[in-house]
Amino acid sequence: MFSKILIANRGEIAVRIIKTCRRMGIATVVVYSEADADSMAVEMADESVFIGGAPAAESYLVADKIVAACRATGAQAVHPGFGFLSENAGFAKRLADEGIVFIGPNPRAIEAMGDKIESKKFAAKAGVSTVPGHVGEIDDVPHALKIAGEVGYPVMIKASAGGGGKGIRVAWNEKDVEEGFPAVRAEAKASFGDDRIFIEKFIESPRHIEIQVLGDKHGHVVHLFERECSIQRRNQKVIEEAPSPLLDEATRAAMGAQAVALAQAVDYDSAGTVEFVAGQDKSFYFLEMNTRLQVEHPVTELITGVDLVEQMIRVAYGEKLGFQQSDLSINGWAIESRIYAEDPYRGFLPSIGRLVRYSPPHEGDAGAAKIRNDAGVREGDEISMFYDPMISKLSTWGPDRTSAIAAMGRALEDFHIEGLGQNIPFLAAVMDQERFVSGKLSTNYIKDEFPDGFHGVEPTPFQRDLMAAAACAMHRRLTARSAPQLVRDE
Amino acid sequence: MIAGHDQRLVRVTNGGERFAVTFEDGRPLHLTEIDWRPGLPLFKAKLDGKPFTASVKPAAEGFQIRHRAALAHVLVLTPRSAELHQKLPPKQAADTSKLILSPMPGLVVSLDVEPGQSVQAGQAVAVVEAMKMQNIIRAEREGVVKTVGPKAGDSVAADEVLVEFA
Repeated sequence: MFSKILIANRGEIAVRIIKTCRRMGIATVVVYSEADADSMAVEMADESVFIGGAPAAESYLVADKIVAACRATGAQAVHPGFGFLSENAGFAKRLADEGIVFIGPNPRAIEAMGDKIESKKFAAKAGVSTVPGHVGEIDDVPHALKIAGEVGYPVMIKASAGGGGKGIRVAWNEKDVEEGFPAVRAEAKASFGDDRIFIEKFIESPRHIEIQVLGDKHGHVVHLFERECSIQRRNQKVIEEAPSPLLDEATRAAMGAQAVALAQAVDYDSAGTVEFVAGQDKSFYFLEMNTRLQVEHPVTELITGVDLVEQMIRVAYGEKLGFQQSDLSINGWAIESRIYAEDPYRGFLPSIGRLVRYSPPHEGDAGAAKIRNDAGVREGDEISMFYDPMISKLSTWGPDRTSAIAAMGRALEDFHIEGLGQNIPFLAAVMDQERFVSGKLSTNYIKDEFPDGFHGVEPTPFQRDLMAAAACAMHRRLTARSAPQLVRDE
Repeated sequence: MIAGHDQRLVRVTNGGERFAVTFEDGRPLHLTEIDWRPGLPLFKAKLDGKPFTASVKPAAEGFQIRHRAALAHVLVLTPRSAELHQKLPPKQAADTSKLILSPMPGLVVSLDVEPGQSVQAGQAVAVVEAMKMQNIIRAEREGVVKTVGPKAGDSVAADEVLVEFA
């Protein structure tokens, strides 16, 4: 096994990787920028190397500096975490040339999956279902009608060069196509100077479901079931869970088999994620493959008992996977909430600053449930403007979905942060929503449920009672008087 | 904030571990295993056996209490004070129609108007930088500038007055 690993990342994921390395008896080196000199990761690692200014382009993204840090410390391998250089095939190649092991997939797999068109070709060849549609030019309305009929309504008429909501029209019937096709074409020509149009299946109320895969250098690939990440705000995941409340055994098996087939098609030899968009009718279509560890990997670890970072290190060293597909099963349910430094009451505006108070709930057993908090900060630390404003990832596990949600609600109550805006009240609101509890998720969830933003919720009768009782108890402790009291909520 | 007013007469009894609050209608609430001392930001206890944690902060005549997504200002008063409190005129929300406020904390990059200048609705009056993004602040109505608050280079808090109209 490696004796020393360098972590080319920061924050909670650097801390997360250090914890596994410690358990495996591997020494750790972290690199750090000017902004992270006093970080928790630097404090925890066995060695640390300063690599430059706070902007990532001057530090965490500079391959030369990472390689030099490996040389200086004798680290044999690099774990890139996620973001930064984690999906950079050039960096993976460069390490290989220098005789340093990249703890991630081979560069060809990164390249093949990093290209949107290339990855779809691989997917189609591997028998992975892709969104039905017509790629290629469409001449006129009759041609568009013919294609729409073949794809099946509703369809999306889209400008090839489209983006930002422009040049997109949903058609529910032939009349919509007759009107929409010329309109989108005109808009595409005017906005992008390119009037090429394509038509594909429109998925109503889509859900984001992804399959975790794990491969080794000996041709073995398994999947570790799915995660559902439908609760998103502006394409940013906020709440994730595993398994998905949508899937049944047959769909789960089909998605898992397709994800494994795609991974095998590119000789995938690390942890990776195959992302799908799913319809409410359990139809599913390939979106893309992420060739790295995902932010939301803890929920998979909680339901499978597999440490994904450990597995990445083992397969990178050349070990064979120590288990087969039939050895894996889903145990219970896990939910992850991303605690962000943002002000939910002000349109989720980023709210950077110092964590004047930072007191997460106790990790470990909480009755029949479990609590895990992945963080890279301590009280007094700064959430800076240079990096992702995530404070921590709070995960709960329960024997079933209801208990995992209840545990998350309680864990959010016990999480205390002062000094900057944070989204805990918003996350708690979602946990209390009937629609979330019933599992009727969609990537439109936040838009549907909070059309005018977040403004807190009206207290329930239980909450009114607890507030009245707590206020009286606190008042009594502060004054120690005894007279009939009036409680008033305003 | 709880919309509307909810006033309840309660009798408080304190018997060792248990703390009971009885409403006017006779309905009792029992708080047990209270884990809170003055100064602590979290109030933990069981209400009729159900555990909860609330974020608490002293506020005028009472407490600001948040439980999950619900936030309220709870006043604890003697019956006599409550009666008097009822007679207080409700607080008026500040009139901000003549003000342009900074929507976020940040750095004033430029303040593009001066006192005496007339401004059209939609006209840019300032640029505030936050999170490396420059935000153009525009007038929501037309008017004549009476005073300007900060100058270029100043830091501003959220809701700080940038421009006041006459």
